[in-house]
Amino acid sequence: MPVYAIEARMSMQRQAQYRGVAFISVLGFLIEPIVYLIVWRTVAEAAGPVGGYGVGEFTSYYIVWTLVRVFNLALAPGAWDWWVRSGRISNDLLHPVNPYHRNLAGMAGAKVVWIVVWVPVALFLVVLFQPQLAPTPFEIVAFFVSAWAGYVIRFNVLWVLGLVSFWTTRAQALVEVVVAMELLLSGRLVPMAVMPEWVQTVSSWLPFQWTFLFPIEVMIGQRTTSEIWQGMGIQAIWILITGTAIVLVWRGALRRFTAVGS
Amino acid sequence: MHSLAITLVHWRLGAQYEVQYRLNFLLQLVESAVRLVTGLVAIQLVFGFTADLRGWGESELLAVLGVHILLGGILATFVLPNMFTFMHEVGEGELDFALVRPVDSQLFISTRQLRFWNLVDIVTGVLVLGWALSGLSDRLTAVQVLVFVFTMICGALVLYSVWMAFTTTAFWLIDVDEMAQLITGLYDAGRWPIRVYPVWLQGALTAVVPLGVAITVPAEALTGRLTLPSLAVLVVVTIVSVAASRAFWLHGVRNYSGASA
Repeated sequence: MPVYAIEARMSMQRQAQYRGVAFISVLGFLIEPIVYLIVWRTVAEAAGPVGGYGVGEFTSYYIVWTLVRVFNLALAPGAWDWWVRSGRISNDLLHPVNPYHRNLAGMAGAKVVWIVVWVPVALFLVVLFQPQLAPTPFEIVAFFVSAWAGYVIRFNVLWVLGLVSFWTTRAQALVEVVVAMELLLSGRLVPMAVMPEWVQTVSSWLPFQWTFLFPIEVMIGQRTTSEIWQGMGIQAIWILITGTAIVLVWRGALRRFTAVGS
Repeated sequence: MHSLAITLVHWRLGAQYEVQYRLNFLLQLVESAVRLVTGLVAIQLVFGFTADLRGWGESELLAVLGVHILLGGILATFVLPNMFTFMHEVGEGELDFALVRPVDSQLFISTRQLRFWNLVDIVTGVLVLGWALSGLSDRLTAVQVLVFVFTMICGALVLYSVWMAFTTTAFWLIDVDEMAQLITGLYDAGRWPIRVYPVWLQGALTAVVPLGVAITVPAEALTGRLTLPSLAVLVVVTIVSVAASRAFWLHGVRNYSGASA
């Protein structure tokens, strides 16, 4: 636990030095939801509410989306490719704390700075698009818990994908497919209610929607209290499943790994 | 003529180098397929609920997607590998080797590399455009085709200039990864016709970072929606961005002091 606090604080301070960079990053991933927001508002204006989502709901959805995106940003699997090929990973393996914990904590710390930078951008969006948001105190607390849980699930999924780099240095195609599945099945592109029934069924068996859709819908009041409790339970199960997968794959990966130079 | 010869030699070498890695072709196929499918799903979803998006029908949006993929393929094949090499060299202090060559520096750093397998995206884009055209009732006239090709050339020049100008900032900023993501994000906003967007965003994607106009206007030319004013805007934007990025590059090179000086 102290390791987490220290890693998080160090990474927070590092990020705080590069506020401009953090601001540009946040701006960079705001374009995506703004585009979705405009397109779906236009659809809802022309065709009326879609799957329970009218103009107001779409607006709140994509504005909360931006905050959830800051929360669930995790280490890109592409980083592993370089990490393993350049041999840099040897340094990290010698460190007494598993790189998983150091990275999970480090990114969490950096997020604190990004969230601060996010605030003015969010205010701009709120003024521009006027969402109707009236979360209860319980929903706000549940949002923060589920957004952090969503981060851990997404981090774990991408970590397992990254570990594939120990077997092949061409994991990129697999990553592309998983990222596309995430785009379509997580609520990142559209709320699941807009998708056909069978897509929703498929999505309910996968971890993706617990990293995007669930925290957003908690905040915008699309979930009842019992659904929120149930959802957080499912998030816990996904953390457990993905965590176990990491432990298993990690053992195999270490056995495969011979450092560059040895 | 000399410039053209240098460019062609670079491209031939780049292609020969890349063709050795045949597995990359498969990876590129997967990547292009994924991009195509997600683009199509987004369009299908929208048109599951409405018949038109601010006056744009399904085939017309398909044309925008086709132009987006096609121009993106040109960018990824001919422009981006060069831009990233340049950024890397500024950071590592290797740029001096490129600047001392007896050719125009901008030409040299813009043509050194070619990512051959990204041609798959260009082919995909053409196929999508063909599909979009088959859904449109009006037959294409020869004039329309000519105007389309002209707007595509303008669009490609605009994309190149935007990236060139952005890449040039590496002289001062060194670490520009986040900016690269911002530009990529803006390019993805061009997957929908910019006429759908509110005025402020249309303005930004036309005058500030003109990626939107570079994609929408060719699609308009192909689907018979092109108006004279929007063609004029694209021509002006093209001239200004090519000239401005050239001036910015020359300014950057003049003020660059080299890695060891």
